[in-house]
Amino acid sequence: MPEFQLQVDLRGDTEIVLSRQFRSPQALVFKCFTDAAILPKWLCPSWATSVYCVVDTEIGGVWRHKIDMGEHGTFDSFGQTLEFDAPNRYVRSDVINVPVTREAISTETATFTEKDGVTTVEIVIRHLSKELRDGNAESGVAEGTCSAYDHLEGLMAEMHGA
Amino acid sequence: MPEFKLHLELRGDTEIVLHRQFRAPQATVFNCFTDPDILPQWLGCGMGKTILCVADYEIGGVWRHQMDMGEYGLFDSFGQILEFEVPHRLVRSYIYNVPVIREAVSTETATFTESDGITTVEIVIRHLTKENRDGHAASGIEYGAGKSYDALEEYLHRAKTLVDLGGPSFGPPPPEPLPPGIQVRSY
Repeated sequence: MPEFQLQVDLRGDTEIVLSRQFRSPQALVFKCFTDAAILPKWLCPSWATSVYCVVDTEIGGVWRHKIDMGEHGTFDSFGQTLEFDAPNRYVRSDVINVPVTREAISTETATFTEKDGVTTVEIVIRHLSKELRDGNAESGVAEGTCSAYDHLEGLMAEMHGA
Repeated sequence: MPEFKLHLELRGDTEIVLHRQFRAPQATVFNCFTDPDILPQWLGCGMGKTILCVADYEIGGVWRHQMDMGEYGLFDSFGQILEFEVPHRLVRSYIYNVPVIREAVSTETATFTESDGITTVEIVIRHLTKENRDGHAASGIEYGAGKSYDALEEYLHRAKTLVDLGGPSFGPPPPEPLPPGIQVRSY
């Protein structure tokens, strides 16, 4: 059983707020969220394959993550780094590379804080409209993110040598 | 006096819609809006001098435009190409590279249509919030975009006149060397 749980809140008309705690140092959690060599190890579901993952943390630099989901097709997302303040905060734009949906750009603001050995990650996803936000909220973002974060909790425990 | 003028309209809570006509073929106007060699000839709100203009029209490719706006400082914007359908439609993300404001990402959907030799450009700018939209609308966009489009009309007119006179087909002048310290980064 994972020690902590993902909290998902809808805020105002256009935001989704994700919050999750990890019993790991802030610097390590931040690294796991931003290092292209580590991201596929927890963000990609175990039944899928990460095709590639690149992250350029310069302002304006591109990140892109493509996942082969077998019979469910390809999940390809990209965006740009807008702020990058390790290990406290990053902001990026986020585009799902599917026609039409591609225009439903969002921004993600992630903040990391540590207290008593527990790091809290808060991610605010802001959409262009209420329709897009509600669509994202109903698309299974909570379930997908929940299992990815549980996966990350286990991965970081291994990295501690636990 | 310019033949046409910019129409600006606020739509819903988060959109700004720009309309402008040009007496030129659609393919030419589309090219003027997308070719990084031509953009610096007219885009600059009547005062900007382009330092860097690059665009990669692959889906997910980056565009970036840096202008020296004199006393107003450096204007640096970038984003990604989300749709690109020559000569009809261009969708891109738009980010104004200033701390804090950088998070106010918007999308621009530009559509081009031609009728009786006149091309109409419609640009829908969609913001994340009403505050961002209202801030953008109050930032002088009507003046700046109006000046830029007037400059494009003049550019298109000069181009047509040169071709009518049997001169060389109109292209951009040779690029000026970049000032020292400016690196062109290829994406």
